[in-house]
Amino acid sequence: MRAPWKFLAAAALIGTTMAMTLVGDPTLDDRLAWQHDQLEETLVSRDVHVHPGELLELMHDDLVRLRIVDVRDESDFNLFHLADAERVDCDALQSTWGHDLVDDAIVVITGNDEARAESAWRMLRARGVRNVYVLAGGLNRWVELFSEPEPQPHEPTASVASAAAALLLPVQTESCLSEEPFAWGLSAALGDRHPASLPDAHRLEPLDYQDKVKRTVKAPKLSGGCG
Amino acid sequence: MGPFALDGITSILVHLAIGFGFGFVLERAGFGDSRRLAAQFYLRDMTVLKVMFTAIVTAMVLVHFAWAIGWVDLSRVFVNPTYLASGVVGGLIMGVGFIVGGYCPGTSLVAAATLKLDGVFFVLGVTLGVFVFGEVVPSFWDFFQNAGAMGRFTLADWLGIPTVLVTFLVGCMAVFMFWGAERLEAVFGDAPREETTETPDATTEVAR
Repeated sequence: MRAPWKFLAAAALIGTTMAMTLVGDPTLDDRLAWQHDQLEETLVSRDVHVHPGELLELMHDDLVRLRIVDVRDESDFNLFHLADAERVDCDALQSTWGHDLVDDAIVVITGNDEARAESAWRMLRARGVRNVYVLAGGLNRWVELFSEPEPQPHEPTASVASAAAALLLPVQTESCLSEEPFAWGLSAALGDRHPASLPDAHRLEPLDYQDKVKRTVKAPKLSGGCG
Repeated sequence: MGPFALDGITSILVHLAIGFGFGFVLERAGFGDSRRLAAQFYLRDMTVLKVMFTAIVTAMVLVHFAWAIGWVDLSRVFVNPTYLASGVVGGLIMGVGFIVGGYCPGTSLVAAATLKLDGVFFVLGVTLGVFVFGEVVPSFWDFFQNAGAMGRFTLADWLGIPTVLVTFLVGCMAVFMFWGAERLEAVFGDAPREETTETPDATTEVAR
């Protein structure tokens, strides 16, 4: 390494990479800002909002690698959630969740309504997770469509005990996501044991919807077949 | 910046230009000569390491720099999925073929393009190998598809450190390897041996 240009090239390489190290990796906020217009345009077009009927069809399709992500608070999740749904918290959405996703995985995010799921959708898309969708109308609409008998709206009661509890135990909300109430009053916290968690598609009236999910990779044979 | 959606004739022309440029640079770097390529494995001529590592480091710095300032979404840049076990086995087979044949698949095409006889035969051998592989791969399909499958797995994922820090560390490693390569060439290269040996080594002459 006697030629001066070699020393200059080595110095340029080390200097450039050192400067990049000092600046650091782009944060999630940086990536959200860079992709803001594109993400909002997609959301406004509703190209990523999946009708409950389409999600139900995916849930009954064994050839689809479906991941249902529930981004609600734990209390709502315990009250009711879809079959095979996984509750993912704010930290995981911002950092680690999705690293193990296979190429042809389809991710559907569920919230009580849409706003919280859309926030999570923005984070995952900014982190580079593909094939992510939002459940249109959220679980409030899901329960309205698939619950039998017809569900009763939730009416909060302002008892003395609950008021005292609210004073002693402030509600913990996850700062990165907006708040949305679960609209229906259920008799118990049934989780995925509620009949509407995985309705029988054959017993339902045909639903009119437009398919939004794009199956980009041919799903592998998971079982059976004679070839 | 972007998106750079290429289709139709534009896509063909761009790929043609990149392919021609890549082949031209390989040829001008001397990579159409099997003796120079094989010399890498005897530590006599480290040109292959220096050229390839320069290409890797240049691409890495530019891509990561563009990512750091928001020009490129790194998550949308294709990264070959890692298949650790099958990668190790394939690498060993490839290495043996490289030493024996004197070329890797890309450089054999460069040699064949300049009508070097060994390059032409190497390309024919590669073609035959591709055919044989296609015929026998069903017998070890599970290993081929699943052995050590880790998906998109980068050094930053493995080390658990920021990507730009990996860039810096690889940059430092590159400078050290360039320096080390030149030291190895000084020890094992042709020039010192010619100075100390009065009569040329017969084996070396045959190899040339």
